[in-house]
Amino acid sequence: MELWILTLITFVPAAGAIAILFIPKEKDSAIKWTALLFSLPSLVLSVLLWIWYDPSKPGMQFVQKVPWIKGLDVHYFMGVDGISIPLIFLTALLTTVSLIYSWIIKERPKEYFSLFLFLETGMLGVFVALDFFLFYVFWEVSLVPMYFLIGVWGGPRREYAAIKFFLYTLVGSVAMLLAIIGVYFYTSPHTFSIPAAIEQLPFSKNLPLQSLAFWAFFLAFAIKVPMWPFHTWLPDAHVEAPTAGSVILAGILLKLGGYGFLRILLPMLPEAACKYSIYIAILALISIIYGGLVAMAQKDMKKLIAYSSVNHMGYVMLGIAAASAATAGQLTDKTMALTGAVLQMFAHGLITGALFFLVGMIYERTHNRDLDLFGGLGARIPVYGGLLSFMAFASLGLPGLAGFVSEFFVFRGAIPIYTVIAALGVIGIIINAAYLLWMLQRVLLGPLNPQWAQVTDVDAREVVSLAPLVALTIVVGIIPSFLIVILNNSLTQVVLAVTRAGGG
Amino acid sequence: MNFDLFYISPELILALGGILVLIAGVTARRWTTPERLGIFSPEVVSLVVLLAALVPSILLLAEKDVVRGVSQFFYGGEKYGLFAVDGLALFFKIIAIVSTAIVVFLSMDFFREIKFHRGEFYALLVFATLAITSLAASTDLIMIYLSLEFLSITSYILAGYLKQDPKSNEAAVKYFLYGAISAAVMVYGMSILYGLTGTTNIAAIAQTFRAGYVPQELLFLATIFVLVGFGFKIAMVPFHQWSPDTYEGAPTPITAFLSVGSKAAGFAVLVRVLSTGITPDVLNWTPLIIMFSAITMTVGNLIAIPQVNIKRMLAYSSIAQAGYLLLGVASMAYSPLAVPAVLLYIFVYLFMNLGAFAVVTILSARLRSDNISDYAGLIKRAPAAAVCMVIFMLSLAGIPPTAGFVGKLYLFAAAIQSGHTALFWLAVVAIANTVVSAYYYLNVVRTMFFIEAEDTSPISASRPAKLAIWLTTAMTLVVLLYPEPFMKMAHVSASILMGM
Repeated sequence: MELWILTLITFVPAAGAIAILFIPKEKDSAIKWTALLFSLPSLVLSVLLWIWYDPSKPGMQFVQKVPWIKGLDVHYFMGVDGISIPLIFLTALLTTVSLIYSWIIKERPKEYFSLFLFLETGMLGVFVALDFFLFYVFWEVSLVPMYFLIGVWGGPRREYAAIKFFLYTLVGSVAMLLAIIGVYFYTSPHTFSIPAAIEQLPFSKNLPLQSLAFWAFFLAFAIKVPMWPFHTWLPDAHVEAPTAGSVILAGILLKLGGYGFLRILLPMLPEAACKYSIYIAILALISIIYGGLVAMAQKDMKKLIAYSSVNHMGYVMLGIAAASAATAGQLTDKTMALTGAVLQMFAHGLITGALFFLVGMIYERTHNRDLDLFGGLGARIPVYGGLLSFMAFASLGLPGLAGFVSEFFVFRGAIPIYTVIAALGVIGIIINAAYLLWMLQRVLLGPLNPQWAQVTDVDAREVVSLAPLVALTIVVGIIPSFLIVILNNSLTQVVLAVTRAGGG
Repeated sequence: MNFDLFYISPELILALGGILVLIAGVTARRWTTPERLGIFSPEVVSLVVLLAALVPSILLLAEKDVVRGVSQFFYGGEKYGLFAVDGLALFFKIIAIVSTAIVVFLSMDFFREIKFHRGEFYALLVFATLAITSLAASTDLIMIYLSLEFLSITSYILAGYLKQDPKSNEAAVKYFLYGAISAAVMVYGMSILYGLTGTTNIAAIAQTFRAGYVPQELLFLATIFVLVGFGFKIAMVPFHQWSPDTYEGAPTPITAFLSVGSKAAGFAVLVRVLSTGITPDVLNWTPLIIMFSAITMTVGNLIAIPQVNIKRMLAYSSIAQAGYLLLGVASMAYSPLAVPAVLLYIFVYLFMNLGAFAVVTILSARLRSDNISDYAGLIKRAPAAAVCMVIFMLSLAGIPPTAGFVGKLYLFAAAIQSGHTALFWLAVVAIANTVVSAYYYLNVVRTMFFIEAEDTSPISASRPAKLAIWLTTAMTLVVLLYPEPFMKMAHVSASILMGM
């Protein structure tokens, strides 16, 4: 079990996807139940993984390593540490609730649910892969189903959004591919193993080459995160994607970028990471401020949430930049900033995922996302209003909820390191509160638009898909320690690696 | 000298088998139709002949001498023969035979309604296969020229096979005119090489150049002239102009044949001449090939974007693919991975490109159209074919989880391993091209999946076409999941050239 658990977590959804292909397309509910059934093992196993994981031991656990391509030293190499486990859990959870939410899909359900499960395998694979070859394959595999989800089930501009999403990400991926090949030839013996490459620190004596590799990886991850100025695919993809697709995009796919920084970039290319840390911090600051201001200017509710992702992922990048800063010492601050970054990834997955669900719910009822046409819905559908307010408050960083904890950690860690940038970044929190409160006001308060007089409140399916996210937002807000415990050791390793070789 | 007929048995079987197919075409006309194939129908006979030639090719490749990189030369002595039985030659025999077999399956679907001269058609295909195998084995300029012309002439006829169709006629005439001119230029280049060295054997040419004075300018000129002939076969820019029109007009299975078998033959002879004849130490051809590679992939990809006809699109795509392969050829002087990378990519390309053409073949017969826009809603009309087409398109774009990714990874690895700055930048150009190519490959996917069809009647394929599609799809996935044996085959086949 220990040996195979990661393989099971990763490939059970793919098995489900293939099983669905054999169900006749008329059998609607059989397809949906099969999809749900095949998404549950990964969720259960990821919880068990969390329980069984021993945070006191450094390094990878549940490792499985089987030779795959001997000539190239490629291995089927999987393993997890404290950074990947929360993200695996988040992936499994968001996929399951997305499948429940997608029960209303009427158009081509067979393909939809099959692609969704393939997507889950791709994302989980990225978080468990410890071999560059495997990592890259999963990285791209997660791209293809999302392309279809946007292109077939998306909004009016779905074709444009789908290809834009695909090509943007592909630009980053192929740059990363060249860097991966570079790493391969600069390790001896040549290897695709990520831990082995980190141990050997390729290019450590050749800063120009290391910088080149750094920027290649950076491009792939920064596009995925996305950081300003690589974010322009995001509003299109998020707005056009079907609701569950937006949830997965914002909740998981953006995290692949952040995860890449932690798993590969900082520990493997520490000198370059230190050297360019300040630039990343500046880009993060721009993302925070710019994302917030553009969100404030939106009239489309979904676009507002989409831009809020640029804003929130800016905090993640600020934490990562602070952790890789070229200053000696300050290990506590750096670890704290990095903890904040991962907490923010987790919290953003929960909160923004939930917000996209809420946008989807109101859109299905009114076929409208224009904020100016809403108003007064708080009295008409109070449960919905309560949920929306709750998630908006969580997103703007209300103490006691997940968003606050993560932002607190990021700024607590970043202020001693990048004082000016972090201080300016705090302005982002104010902008953040401004656009979310303004959104709440326009949707829930004021006079009721008579057009929406017949709108119904949330139903059981919607409650079931939102409840886990609400509960976890509270839990993480009140007792973040259960997350910090599992993160701490692994993040300290990253900070030590980057400090030892770089600034220290 | 080891004179053993077994070493040339693939060629003997193909030559005799071709004649047998001709006879089958004459005798079978009355009692076997494309719908009900008899045992002695040209289709069945040609498949049996190809299989019979495949077996000794594989056995020979597995033989110890070949694995060690010792070349068995036929006719003309141990060292300076006309015809080699080595890893490279055997590898391309396998490529030629497998690709022709798939093309035969596609032809069986394509010629269901066209019933004239079936025997001659399949016989010509078998002879064209023979031409490829002998081109890949040629180690002498005369032999190269004869095999190349043999391949060209059979291809001209096949391209113009639909004689009532003006487009098919245009395809053949254009192909012939370009082919004749480039062959003439190539022969001129060869005559300069002969004038400089006094020999037509490519190994002896290298020997002579190493031993004495090399007039660089004249050799450069001769190399360019020879490259015109090879470039014509592989559709290298600027010698590619025939290919879009020929690909569009030729019967679809023949287009598939030209884009795979014929192109592979061009690469076989290119690799052999550049690694054993005009070697990098005699003439530094790396910058030249880098230039051709960059231009070929960029032009191919950019012009592929606006194409509305899928055969033209695939024509430009296969020009671009030749550009990627040239990246491997350009790395030959610096990286031991380069030749295996080229071979592996050709192997992968065989399946993904033939797979794409297999789908095009069944659709062009049923939709009576080769326009990409007519593929709208294909996911509902022919779901299996549409899903397979996605796999081929992703593979051609080099996106995992497909074989195309492994092939591209190998090619890029060769370029980066070389440590040569220009080759590194060529790899950067290649990845930029990959992104461009994803746009038009995905355009086919977009049309099939995102756009609703007006006509939603289901489309079904004939059994041979289905077989071809399943086989190519399976291989396109297997080479990613378990690439080990194929990589090994590529390395073994390349080992003969490693001493360059």
